[in-house]
Amino acid sequence: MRFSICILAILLSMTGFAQNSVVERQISGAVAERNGKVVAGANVLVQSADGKRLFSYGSSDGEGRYEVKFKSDADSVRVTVTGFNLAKVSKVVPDGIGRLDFVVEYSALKIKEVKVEANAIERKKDTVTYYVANFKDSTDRSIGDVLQKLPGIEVAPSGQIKYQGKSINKFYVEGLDMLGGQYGIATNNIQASDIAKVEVYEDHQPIKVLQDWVASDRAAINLILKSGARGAWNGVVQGGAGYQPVLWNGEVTPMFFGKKFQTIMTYKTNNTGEDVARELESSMGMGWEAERLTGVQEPGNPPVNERLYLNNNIHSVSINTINKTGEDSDLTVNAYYIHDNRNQAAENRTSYFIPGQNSLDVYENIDAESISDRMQVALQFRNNANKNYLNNRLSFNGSWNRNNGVVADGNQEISQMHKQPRITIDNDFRMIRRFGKWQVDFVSNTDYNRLTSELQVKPMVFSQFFDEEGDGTGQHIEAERFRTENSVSTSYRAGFWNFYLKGGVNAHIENLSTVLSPLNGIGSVADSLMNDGKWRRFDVSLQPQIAYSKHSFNMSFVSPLEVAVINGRNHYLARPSVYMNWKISYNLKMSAYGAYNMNLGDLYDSYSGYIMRDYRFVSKNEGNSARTGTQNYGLDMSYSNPASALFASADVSYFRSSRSQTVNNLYEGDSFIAEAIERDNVSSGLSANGRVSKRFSAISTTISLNGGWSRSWSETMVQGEVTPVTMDRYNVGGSLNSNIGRYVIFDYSGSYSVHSVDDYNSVDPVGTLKQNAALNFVICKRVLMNVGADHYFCGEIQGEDRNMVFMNASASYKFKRFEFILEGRNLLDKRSFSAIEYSDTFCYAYAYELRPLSVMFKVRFSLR
Amino acid sequence: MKQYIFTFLISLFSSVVCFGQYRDVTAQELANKPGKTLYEGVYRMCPAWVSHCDITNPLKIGESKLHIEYDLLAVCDTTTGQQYKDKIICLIGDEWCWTYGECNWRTNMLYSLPNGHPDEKNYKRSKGYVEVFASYVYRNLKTGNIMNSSHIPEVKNQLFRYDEKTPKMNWELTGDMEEISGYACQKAVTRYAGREWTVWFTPEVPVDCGLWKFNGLPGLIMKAQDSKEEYVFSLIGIEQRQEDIVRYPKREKSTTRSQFRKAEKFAHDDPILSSDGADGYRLIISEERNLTGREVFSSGHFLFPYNPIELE
Repeated sequence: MRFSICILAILLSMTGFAQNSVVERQISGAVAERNGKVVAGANVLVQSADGKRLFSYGSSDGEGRYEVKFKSDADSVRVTVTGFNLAKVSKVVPDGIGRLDFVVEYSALKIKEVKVEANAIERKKDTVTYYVANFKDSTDRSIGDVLQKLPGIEVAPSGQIKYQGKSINKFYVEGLDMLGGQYGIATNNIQASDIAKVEVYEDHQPIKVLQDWVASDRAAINLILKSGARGAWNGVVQGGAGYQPVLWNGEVTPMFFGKKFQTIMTYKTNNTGEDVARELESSMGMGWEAERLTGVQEPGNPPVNERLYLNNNIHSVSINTINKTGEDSDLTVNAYYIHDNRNQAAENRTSYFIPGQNSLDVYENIDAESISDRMQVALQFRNNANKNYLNNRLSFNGSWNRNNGVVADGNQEISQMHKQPRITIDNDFRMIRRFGKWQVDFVSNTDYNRLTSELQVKPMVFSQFFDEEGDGTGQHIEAERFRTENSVSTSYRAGFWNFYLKGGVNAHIENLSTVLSPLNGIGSVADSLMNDGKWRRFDVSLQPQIAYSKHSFNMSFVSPLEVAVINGRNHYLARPSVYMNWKISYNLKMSAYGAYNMNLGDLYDSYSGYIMRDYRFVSKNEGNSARTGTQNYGLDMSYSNPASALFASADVSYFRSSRSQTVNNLYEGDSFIAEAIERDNVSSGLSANGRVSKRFSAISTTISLNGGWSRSWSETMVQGEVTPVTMDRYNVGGSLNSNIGRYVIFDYSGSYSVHSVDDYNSVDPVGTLKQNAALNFVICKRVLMNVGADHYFCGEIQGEDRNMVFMNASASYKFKRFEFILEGRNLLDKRSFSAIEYSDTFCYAYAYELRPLSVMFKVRFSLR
Repeated sequence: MKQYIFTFLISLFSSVVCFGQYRDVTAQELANKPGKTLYEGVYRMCPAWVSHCDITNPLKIGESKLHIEYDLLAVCDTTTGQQYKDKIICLIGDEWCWTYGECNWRTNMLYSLPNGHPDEKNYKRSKGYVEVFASYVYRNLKTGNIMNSSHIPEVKNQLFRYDEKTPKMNWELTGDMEEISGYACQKAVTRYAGREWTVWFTPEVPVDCGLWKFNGLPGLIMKAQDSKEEYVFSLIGIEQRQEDIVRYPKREKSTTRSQFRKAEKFAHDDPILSSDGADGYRLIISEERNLTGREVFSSGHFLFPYNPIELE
């Protein structure tokens, strides 16, 4: 039996062998046309029956004959005749057939074309080019959506763009700078489908005269349009309506980009929680302490998507144009008008830590409304030629802010009313000329600001300050500021060295008059409740600077020396700093800096009469204005390798600051008094950050990771007692954008941060996690669906609000130039957002009222 | 005698490089430093610093049916191993298969135009590409001849032409399959001119190889690379486009393959010396672009690393 099995096995294996043996075979035949004319030079392929694998091939000779030898173990083979001008003919024949003739026909060549594909990212010298088509997917509407995905580029929620962790210094469209710092108008409104390339100019010096003279470590972005979008009107018209409450959302954004003229105009309105004013307004240089003196009590904005909480009603209109008036010169006009109405509601508890005592808890139930009208008109002329530069920008801003608020603290309701009209006129002028190896730079910036504030609180608060009774307490403020800063600098270049000398004359004149009084009061007001501050500051400064630049190494040392005369008293200041930057290779760059800065305070840390800041906070100062000395040191490194789409950067920085003034936080009952006294106060901090991003083009995925750590040491003074404070914060985060196959696009971003405070009331580390994920389904070319979720975790909160999840979803259908969008927001109908935040002196816990579940339908029409 | 002196000088400078006193400078680095004092040392210009050639009055010899583009990644300088990218155009018609380096062609077109001509912008090199492939190769599909029309570094207004028979390539089909740009491709290997070539071709485009001098396969080559990966061609586009296939006979100087190869090698090893003739031009790096010319190089200071696609 065993023997027979053995034989059987051998037999089986033999037959198997026979079947699978590879034998050399041969097929021959002739190739001819239908009319019998022989076809020479035709390819004859012998393939597997499915046509996938080629065993062998030959070609027909001058008489149309062919002969192909091949090895195969298959039952049948496919024989195919092809040729440059021949229609393909295939025959599947049993293996072993010896002769096979073909009749073929001539026909035009037809192949499937492969479009020339450029690399996704390229570098040439200092320019990195991103080809948008490689990054864009069907969910992207504006170019800002695409910028976010480009490795090495980050777009902050404010719209600010960073390249390798540093803010960009210019944003161009087709080489023209129409928007200045307000480039959010471009990133939010230019359609991604109109852009061919995004160029990043590394170490960009926007002023041509200064190129090769003054190194820059900032990058600029330039958008290159597709040829069809150039010189034609583009833009979007959108309208939408929804429910809970009645919602609307509309925008019209016509734009034109030509060689000599560009414009973007926008009109946007909504009550759906989109802050469309943000793209229009610059936060730079507009801040003024006088404006922040008073206000109604408002809850802080929760760290969630603003569409979840912003209860608004906004209209905004803007016009931006640039005209090229010459080869190097242009004229820019930027104007906007915004009407914005917001409502906020929250419940909160603020616990003030008092050394040696129980914390003081304040409960508030806040309702606040703000109505604001803001406008700007700015005109700018610029001539940016190789040998000279001229720039003048004149702007006029006006704002009319009205706020109302009610705070209920359980016992009573306190109503607040605040009005604050303000005007600003600002002119910035700069001229640079080059004479051979010399260069002269003249700068003159002048601005004038004026505001009045009126804060009325009812019923009366801070009654301890007044002798008489009243309906309430009123704070009146009038402030006026005039500044002019003028400087002339000259520079001389010798070989690798540049020498600069700058002389400056500045004036700063400011008046502040305030009165804190009972409403309907009749009697005179005590001096301690009034201010009539006058600030007269004149500066003369001299700023020598030496710069060295050789090959890939730049270094500069600058030490401004200043004499400041403030209200008749002389002060002497020095601000030495050194900066170095080394391009180790085109991909790897390093820079380091060290600086010492001396600053003098202003009117706002030397007023001595009480000012009511809000219904339970007053402040005043004792003695002279503060004098601050700060040291800063930093080191950063960046690596960008476009070939492998890898971008990384890291930085470390340290500061130490010493200030001659300390704020004493005093709590009396529910009210809070901040008194600045003359006492030296030292704070310092260390921080380290890093980020890496990489594009994996094979799987269409961009991954970014970042992490950071910081520690600061400072002092805090509460009820006259000084305590040292150490604060630690570390955070890790990452984001991922991936096209899973052709039909699913996945976006994820998350960040986890831990914050701890160590002082008289030590706070254990508090962790918060913020995550956002979105899945987009490309159902077909025209239909898209999106589901998104946000998750917040606050380790300090107990109960159900410890983890909070918000969901939204949308679907869109594209038809020709129309897009129909259906959106659902806050699908889980979560009505409030809770969080706890810590500082060195207090803890703030709040529950902010959110917008309810809503549904919205929008129609979007593309003008081109 | 002169030869010996220069050989000595070259070896002297090479030894200086070996001791690390001077650093090597790539063409890219040099190009990025206009107006700056130049480095001392041996300039390894890489890839080929192509000589400009006036290519006006082309002679039309045929028309294409297919326009094919490849990216060529080439290691021109084996000491550094750095890859440079060129774009290779291959036009295939009924009679001719014409392969040339696009960067070289564009540079020549630019050179042929009068200064300030509005067409100049059309001939700027594509970003990220440099001249590596400095030849026009015409393969006649009917007669089986190949015409080579090539540059020699630093020799201006001159194309060196030599003809050869289409080489016989013995292809071995490995049976490996791969899909490239939507085409089913088959791997094949051969040995030609001192390199082991591996190619992926597709019978779905029924032309005889297409690229360069490759021949004898029943389909278009989609990818080709030598065993050291010093020359890697990857297809980036195919279009059915009718274009003129042209030659530039006015600038051609007839030679033979072996003479050309000798001249080419010499020009790489010592371009200063080789271009010192009437037709050549001395290497001049201007201090401020095109303003004040200043001769900075002498023989031996300068070499083009020699790693041609045909080693034998």
